[in-house]
Amino acid sequence: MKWFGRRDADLRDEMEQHVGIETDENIARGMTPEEARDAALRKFGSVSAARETLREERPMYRLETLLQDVRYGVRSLSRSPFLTIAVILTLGLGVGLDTAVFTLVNGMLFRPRIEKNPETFVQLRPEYSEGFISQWFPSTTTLEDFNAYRTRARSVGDFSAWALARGTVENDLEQDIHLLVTCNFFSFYGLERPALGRFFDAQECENPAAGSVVVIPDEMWRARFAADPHIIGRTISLNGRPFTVVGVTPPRFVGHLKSGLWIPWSMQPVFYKGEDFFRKSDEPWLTVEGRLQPGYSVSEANAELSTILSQQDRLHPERRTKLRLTNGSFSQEPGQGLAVAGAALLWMGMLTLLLLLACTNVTMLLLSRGSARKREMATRLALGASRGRILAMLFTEGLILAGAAGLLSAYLAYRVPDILAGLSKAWPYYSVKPDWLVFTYLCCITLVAACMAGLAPAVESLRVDLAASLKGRGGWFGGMDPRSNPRGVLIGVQVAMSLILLIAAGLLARTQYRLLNFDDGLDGRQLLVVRMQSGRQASAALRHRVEQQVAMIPGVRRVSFAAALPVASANVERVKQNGALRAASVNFVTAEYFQTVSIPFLLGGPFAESGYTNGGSPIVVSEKFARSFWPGENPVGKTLEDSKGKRLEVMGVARSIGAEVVSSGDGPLFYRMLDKEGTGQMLVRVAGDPSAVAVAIRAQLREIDPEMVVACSTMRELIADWASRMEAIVGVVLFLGCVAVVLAVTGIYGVVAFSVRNRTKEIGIRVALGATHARIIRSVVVAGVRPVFVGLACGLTISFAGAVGLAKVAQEAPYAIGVFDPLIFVAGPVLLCGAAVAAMFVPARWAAASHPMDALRQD
Amino acid sequence: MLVLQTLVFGPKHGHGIATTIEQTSDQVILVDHGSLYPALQRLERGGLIDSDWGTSENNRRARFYKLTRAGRKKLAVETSKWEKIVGAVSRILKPATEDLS
Repeated sequence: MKWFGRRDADLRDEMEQHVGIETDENIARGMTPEEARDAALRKFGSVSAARETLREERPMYRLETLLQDVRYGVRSLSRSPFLTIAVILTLGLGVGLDTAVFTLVNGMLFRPRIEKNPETFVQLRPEYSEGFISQWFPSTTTLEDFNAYRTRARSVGDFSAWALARGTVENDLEQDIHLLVTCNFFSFYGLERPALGRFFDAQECENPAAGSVVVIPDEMWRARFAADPHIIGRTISLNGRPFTVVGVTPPRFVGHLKSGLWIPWSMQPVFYKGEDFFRKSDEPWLTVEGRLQPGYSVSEANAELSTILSQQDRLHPERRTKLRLTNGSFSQEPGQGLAVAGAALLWMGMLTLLLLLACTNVTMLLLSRGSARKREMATRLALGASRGRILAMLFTEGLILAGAAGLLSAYLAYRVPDILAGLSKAWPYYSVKPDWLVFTYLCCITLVAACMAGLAPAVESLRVDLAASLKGRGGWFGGMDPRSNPRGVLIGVQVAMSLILLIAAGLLARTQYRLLNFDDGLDGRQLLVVRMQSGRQASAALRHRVEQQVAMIPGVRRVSFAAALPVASANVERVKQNGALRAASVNFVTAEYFQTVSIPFLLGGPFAESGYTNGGSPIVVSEKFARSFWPGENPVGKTLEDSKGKRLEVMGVARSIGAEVVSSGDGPLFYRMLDKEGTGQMLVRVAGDPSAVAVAIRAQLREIDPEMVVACSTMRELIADWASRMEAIVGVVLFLGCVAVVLAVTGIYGVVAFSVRNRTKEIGIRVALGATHARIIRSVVVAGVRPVFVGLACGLTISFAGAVGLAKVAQEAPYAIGVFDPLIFVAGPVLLCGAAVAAMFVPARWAAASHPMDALRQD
Repeated sequence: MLVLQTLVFGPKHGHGIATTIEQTSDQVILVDHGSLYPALQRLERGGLIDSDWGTSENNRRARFYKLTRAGRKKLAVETSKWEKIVGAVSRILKPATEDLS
């Protein structure tokens, strides 16, 4: 087969010769040379037509036309640079951000936190039966079972295990969570070599005497030890014992918890109050992970391991264990399924909205452009282009746009998840490699959308009434009025969607702000919260002793105990008032609580020391409670019944604290007296430097009970900590909200700009007839603003509905999202409306400034 | 098919092919000389004919086309197909005329 057709010159030559031969014959027949040639040419037919057909049939023709189309496309797109950039940015941002955020959410919720071969990773979650459950951590495995798996399992190889350990590093107040690990932990997680030093060796993993070594994460090395070049070999103290640092991991390693380090598992007894689980090998404490051997599926592995486990069960009469193999992701953690599904839905909802916004934007822009090119299409058709050819050309243009946008999205999808994940220090590192499946899917969708949007005007423009189009009239957007339906609807839809996103962002941001500035007279900086966990039985005597000792520390003004902190949500109880059950929140506190936390009394006073009156329990109610249960009356002395029928007598009314306003609450708050034996958390009001007092408290507590686990921080730090967890989420949502606004505004700008350009003739005539600039501007803006209002109204309604739904979900949060914040619901629409009007203003001004002669000449 | 047939008896140039077809069919089939060339290209690309430069009767430079072996085979196949069709159509037409008589 001959693939390369003969060259054009060659063919021309041949055809010329052909004509020549015929001419010769004609001359032989007696014609004059000119007549002969004319006759010959006539007989031949159209030479140029033949050449065209020949050219079209060449094998390279398709490729040539493609290249030509690309050139045309680029040229035509660069003639309207703003539009091109707007479309590329919009599509690119839309797809890219969508994928980026989804990758993050995916990484956090659905994928296991491991970078190397996540598909073969499995985590074992056994459920031991009653009596054999771990006191320490749920779903952990015993050492004997672990060894059984290691020796007998065939479907899963390469077992590794870790366990949590609490410890204070050096002179920290807070305890951090560290990991006790088996020797192969690091290679299991895909880390072959540390950044510095080495990992644990076999001796250290087996022999507790040799195991006083740690590996620290890069972040700790930099933050805590100021990147000490001599860190290897340096001794640090952990829980007061000396440990030598032998290695440092590279940055962003996913195998650890925030600010935690790694210790060989042989050192377990040190962190578990001396209980040795190597000797007491039937105590569960390990989280076991493994890799599926090739050829085995998860269910097969599950079956095999369950069999091994039931063999193990026989060693312990009455023990029955169920085994679940998970892929290690958060979503598969027992009990988290529903929460994860809810969160995922919420996120995907927002992302889809954003993507839809981007697509409508692009559609609008391209449609506007299509209408402006009607004349061009008419000319091309008149010059003889086939419809197929024009469609191919327009399609290529669409592809160029989509291709450029695709590159931008790919870049965003790659870089943004890293940036987002790094935003919050509170989170451990998640594996945020983009999920190519999702990306391809998203890409296809937007490609289809882009091409359709590119083709729709094409198809429309081809159904052209040539004469009318050449004169600049006729067609779809012929009316050139932003009131015209398709465009108006698109504007409205865009505005609605942006408003929803904006409101969501605003609500979250506001909650975050309120939370951070929540102090409300509590003076959180001077309030220490001490959480104690003692192995010993809690007793009244113990608590009394603690209270006394701590009260004697210099700087301590007041000491009290409470079940729940002032900011956190309290327990819900039902109380009976006059026989009717009502919901209320309750906190169990000691009498000094109110003074410790600086909550003033409005009426009455706190519980008396004796604590009992007339056979009932004393309670203190909050302002809000009083107003709700006994409006307009003095509640002191009044009684209620609790759900068990016990009488509750009101001793006093305390001021409502901010938490009640912030929380969506299950009811107003009241306080009951904490049992003598109950501990809860200790609240200490200090004067002077809180950290010094904290050290003293710690020392004191250690004296009383050396095994006690103590966590001590100021109220303000706690709040900041909670806030920081939400920080990144709020950041992301705010960002999405801003992007939504930008998209909506550019969309509106684009549409109005085009409509104005198309109305230049009309506007020119108006100006010539005497309209002032102001009138023109006003007419453009007013016409455009109608769909915006409709959009705002729809958006508001949907946001409101969404907020109601969110309120239900948000009750789970430790503090609540103020979902009915009027500020946001008003500011959002106003902001968006203002932006929309500003967007319309610019092209309106241009239009008004146009010279009537130019306008009229534009035809 | 017609082009292939004219080449059975030896190579010809483009003009020659066109005139042969017209003459042999008694001017019933008039070939648009221009549209001959795309057809020749297609045949050549399909490997059914071969071409080369040569000199014509009038000492003009002309490109001569000749049949390849594949071309001959194709011609035989096409010819038999055509004859089958023609035969079938005539058989259908014949009885009708007989009936009418």
